[in-house]
Amino acid sequence: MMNDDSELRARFANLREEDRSAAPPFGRTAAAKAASSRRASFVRIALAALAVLAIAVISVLRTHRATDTAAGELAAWSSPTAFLLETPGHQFLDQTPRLGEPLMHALPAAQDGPQ
Amino acid sequence: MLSVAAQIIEAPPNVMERSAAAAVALDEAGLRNALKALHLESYGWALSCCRRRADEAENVLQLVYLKLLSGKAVFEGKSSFKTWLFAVIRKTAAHEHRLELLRRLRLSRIPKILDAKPRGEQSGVEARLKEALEKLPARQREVLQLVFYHDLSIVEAAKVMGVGIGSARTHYERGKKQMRRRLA
Repeated sequence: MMNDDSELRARFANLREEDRSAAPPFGRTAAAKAASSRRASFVRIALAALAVLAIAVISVLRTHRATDTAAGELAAWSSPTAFLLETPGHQFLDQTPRLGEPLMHALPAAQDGPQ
Repeated sequence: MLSVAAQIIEAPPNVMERSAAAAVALDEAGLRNALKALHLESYGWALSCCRRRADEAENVLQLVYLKLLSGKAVFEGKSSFKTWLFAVIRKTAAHEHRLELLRRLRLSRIPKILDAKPRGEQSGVEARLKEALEKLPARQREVLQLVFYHDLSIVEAAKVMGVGIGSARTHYERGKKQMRRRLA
């Protein structure tokens, strides 16, 4: 058992030596990513800013459109009981009478009735 | 007299726990020195985590150094610095491996993954050992590498691997048995 362990240990020690000779220097490993990381973080910040800007523009456009739609809907709305306000002879109240013209002129043809 | 970095690397876990505050207060220069002192060991471990692909190992190590030096990963003194560093390397390698698989899947190059062979010299002195290690299950390979290559105890290896001591011991025994059979 001990023998096996020591043999394995020796083999791993050889492997370690082999790896160490091929290892990149510390300075290169530590410095390589710093530059690319700065570039990557700049790109990331720019992308995030772009996304925020896009969201802001979309939300402003949506709000604007929603306000327009609401105003239009409000203007078009009529009460279900609006017909009750249409009293007989309301035409007389809607128009200013003119001199020399009969008031009956304002009445629709249907109301003229049989002559 | 030992430098702060050397003290942190050499200190056993129980000492580290007591001086956790001092370890956490490691400045960038101290951290850089500690990493430099463990660089060759770290590279060996990264190689093992990347299935002995040298370029991937270097990439993983670069990411780990960047994480540590930029303060994204902070040593809290719960274990020895070496154990903690190895755990960070292992996690980063696993994460990078997953990303690489996804990248390749997106590019529909699945057959290339299956055919992928570790680069580097296979005709070296320890080619048989490398071959035998490659054929071992990941956990067994990891525990053997940590114990025999990096001279960690099974308890420390378990911490690096994020498994229980019993589990690490089982992997260790099974791994040794397999290696003995394959190297015979």
